[in-house]
Amino acid sequence: MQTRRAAGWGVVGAVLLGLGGGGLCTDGFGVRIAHAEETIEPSARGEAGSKLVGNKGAAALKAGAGRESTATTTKTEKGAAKDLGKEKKGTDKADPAADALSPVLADLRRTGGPSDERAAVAAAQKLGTMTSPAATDALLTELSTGLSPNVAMAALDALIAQKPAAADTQLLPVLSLYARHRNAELRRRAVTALAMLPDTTGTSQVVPQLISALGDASAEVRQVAAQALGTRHEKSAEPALIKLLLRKDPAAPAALGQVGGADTARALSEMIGNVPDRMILETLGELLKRPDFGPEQVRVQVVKTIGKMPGSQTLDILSDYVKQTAPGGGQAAGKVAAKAAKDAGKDAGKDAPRPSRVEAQKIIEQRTAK
Amino acid sequence: MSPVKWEPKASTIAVVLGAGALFFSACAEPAFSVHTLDNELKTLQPVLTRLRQSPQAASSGHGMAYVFAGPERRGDKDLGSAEKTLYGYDLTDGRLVFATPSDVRSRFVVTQSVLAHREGAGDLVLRDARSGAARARVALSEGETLAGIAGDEGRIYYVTRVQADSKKGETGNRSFVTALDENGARLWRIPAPGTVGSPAATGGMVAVPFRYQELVVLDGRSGKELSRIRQKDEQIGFVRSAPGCFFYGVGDKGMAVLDESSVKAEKKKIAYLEPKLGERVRVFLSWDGYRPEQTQFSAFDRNRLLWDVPAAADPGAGKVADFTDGKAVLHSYRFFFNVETTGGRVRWAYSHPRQNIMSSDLSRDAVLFVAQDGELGALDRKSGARVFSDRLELKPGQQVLGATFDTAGSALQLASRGGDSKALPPVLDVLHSIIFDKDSSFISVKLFAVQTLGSLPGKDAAAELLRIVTAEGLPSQLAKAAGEVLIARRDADTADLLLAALKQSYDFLDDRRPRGIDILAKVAAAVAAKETVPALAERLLDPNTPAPALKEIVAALTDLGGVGSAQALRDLLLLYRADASFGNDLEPLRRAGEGLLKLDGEAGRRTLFYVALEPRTLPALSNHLGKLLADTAVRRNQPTKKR
Repeated sequence: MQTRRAAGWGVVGAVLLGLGGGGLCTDGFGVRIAHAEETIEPSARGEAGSKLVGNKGAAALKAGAGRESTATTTKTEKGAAKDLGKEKKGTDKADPAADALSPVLADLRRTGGPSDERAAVAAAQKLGTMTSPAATDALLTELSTGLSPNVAMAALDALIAQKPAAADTQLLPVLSLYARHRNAELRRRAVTALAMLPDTTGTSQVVPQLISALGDASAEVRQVAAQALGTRHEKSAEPALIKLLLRKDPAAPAALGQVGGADTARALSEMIGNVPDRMILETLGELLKRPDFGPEQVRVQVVKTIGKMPGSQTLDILSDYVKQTAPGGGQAAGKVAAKAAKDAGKDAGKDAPRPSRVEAQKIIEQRTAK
Repeated sequence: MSPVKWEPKASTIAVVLGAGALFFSACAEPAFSVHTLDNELKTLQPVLTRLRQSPQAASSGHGMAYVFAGPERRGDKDLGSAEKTLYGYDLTDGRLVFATPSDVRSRFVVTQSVLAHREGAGDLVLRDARSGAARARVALSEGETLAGIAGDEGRIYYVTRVQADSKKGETGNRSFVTALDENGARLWRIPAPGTVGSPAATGGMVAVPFRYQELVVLDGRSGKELSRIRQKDEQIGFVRSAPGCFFYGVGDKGMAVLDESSVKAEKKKIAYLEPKLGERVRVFLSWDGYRPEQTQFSAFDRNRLLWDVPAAADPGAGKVADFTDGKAVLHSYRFFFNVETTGGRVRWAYSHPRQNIMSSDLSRDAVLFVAQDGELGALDRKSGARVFSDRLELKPGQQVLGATFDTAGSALQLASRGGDSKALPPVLDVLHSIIFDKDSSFISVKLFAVQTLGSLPGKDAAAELLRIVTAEGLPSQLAKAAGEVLIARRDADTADLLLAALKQSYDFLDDRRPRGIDILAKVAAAVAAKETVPALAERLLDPNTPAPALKEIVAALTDLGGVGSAQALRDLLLLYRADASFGNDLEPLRRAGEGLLKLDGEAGRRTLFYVALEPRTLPALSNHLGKLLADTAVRRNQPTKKR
């Protein structure tokens, strides 16, 4: 009973909001409201609608003001009821998928004690397993109109689990809003969801947000953003990632190694002394791993730079590089070797020794001899 | 029965009159008697006449600075073992006259050729003012505490005090006023029942504050009490003298000139003067005459108002118009401000490089000072320009601990040394250097500088105030004060500056943290800077905006209005309505609801309905908004009364 009533409250409120006019529905919350009611069973809406005035209204209007204010609020409520009626007719013809969501949504909207919140979290998780657009819509609607942090986290996780194939026009505003939530964990999840949006559509809005998230106060949020930008090989993020490295953020090396080029390598060598050696080494190591990093002369310089740095990490990176670029090595090694050979020019034969590899071997020998 | 007539004989009358005269002369009240009548014009008038007729003290024409230097001190403890030295520096000749070892324990007193000070724990030393040679050493009586010294006409007066000993059944403190001649011989010593404060002397008379409410004037030669003033509505905290004039502290903010009106004994009826320098500065007109520890050089010497009063144009009138030229000089640590005593407007400001200024004083034309490192200086009173500079060669480990200036009456001629014809830097620059000085120990002077910025016209001053609001590392009081000043200024042309400041957001990459957002929001609302709405909306939804600032941003957006405002308020309300982290401080959400209702009409009302009625909304917020809706619904429903 409580569940059903709660669901009803959500719908009525959503309808009220939906009536709020264009100003309310420009983006973010309001635009999702109209969708919410379609997912709720009509009976619940009717019941809740009657209770809206009966319970909450009366409670708020104590000491004789009740009758008067009830009268004054009825305009809104009548409007809401009218719209509810329309929606009810519409949803009577709703598709079975939407009807199937109703009990899940009812759970999602449960309120009261911790058990209700647990049920709401479970409901959000369940929505994550449903791949229908209606489920995504429902999640976005709930997020738009405000949830407790725990339920919101579950809802964001559910969105991530749904792996949206395309950037929903409604998805971005909601995720953007949560990417700036005061709760860092919610921000992290929102950025994770943003990062999953494919490159094909909406990228122009996603990437700036990911770059912006590199400046977040939470290290976890920065980590997710940096990782996403690295995975995307987002060259436009390089200046921000360099700043991140200068701030000694552990998320920077891997990401920068994935997006950086020859200029990055040069910039890194100038950072020695300002940034911990291990971070520079890690970044340079990441650069060397990439088959598309070059030309070969730059690789040689990078190897030399690594060789000048103290510590055992140097040897590990160079040893890995030597293994990786071994003729006839693994797939990755093959790619790197082939690219290196191509960079080396016409005269370089298929099995010609790559200067960077030779340099790496030389450094390893010298260091181990010592 | 006829009445008996008594007809005195001439001889009888003579006897009675003679006996009466003898009786009254025997009953003349001693000084400090509890039976002495106070606020009597007939006793005060002769005192004032003597003051006005007193000749200007004879002077050699040479100004002197008596400087005490020694190891660094913290409280009563020396932090080193450097020699303690008394330096005598001739300001007119610009040279050191003498340096003599001395453990100085009080400010210096100079009268004619005598220099007096306390030395060590229990001695008073009288020296030759030109050579520093000791003339006499007077031991303070056992168990007595020195409460102050004064000098006039070659005589030295000092007050000592004995604490009541409850074991002996004593109930009140006792004090003694003692006079010495220039060779240290005792002229008189008068006991007083109760607490007597530090003396001041001029015109052959000595005045002391007595029992916190009275001012007693004694004859310098005999110690006889001449007159007494009892202030009815305030304490008398100190007495100070100038040639031909006594001043006495009235309450903790002002002082009065001793004149005929003093017998009226109420602040509004006497010749009362109070410098009004603004709310953010606490003015010390003189050190507390009742506190023996303040007879020594202390922080007071580095934080006080330097003031003087011109000689009355009509001595008979006894009225003093104001402080000299309506200005005074505020000394605080390394800084001097020439301020108008009505309002506190700063005419010039001087910031001394690095070293604290340990003591300062006014001559007719100059502000004299000595810095901790031995630098002696003088500034022109009118322009603030440096007119004199020299440096004492201190001994190893020494620093200046205090100094007293003998300005040789009104005609001090300073040596031509170290003057600087360069114009002072603009007041704005000096204020900036004061406010952003890394030394955080002088917060009050920084607050004063902020206040002063408010009185400077122009956008540059407003920009400086905004810099203070958003600066990193400044004490929060300064930012708050700067905000208040900005609000009071209401500079409409600061909108672009405000906008730029509000656009600053937290950025880990640039190590940037926005500061003073709440203050900026208040200022934006106060100056109706509608251009700032988008930036305020950004800050409202910025996760790094400090929670306490949210309510100010909400209030500003509500005041400024516009579509962007309503949108931001709605987003905040919906996003956090169910967030328990707002449970401890719902004010931003409450205000956002109120703002939305005000700004967004029917749409806002519907949003509020949703938030109020949706069960997941925080209960306290739900209740508040429910009540708000109900209240406004009642109002909306009431028929409009026709006027």
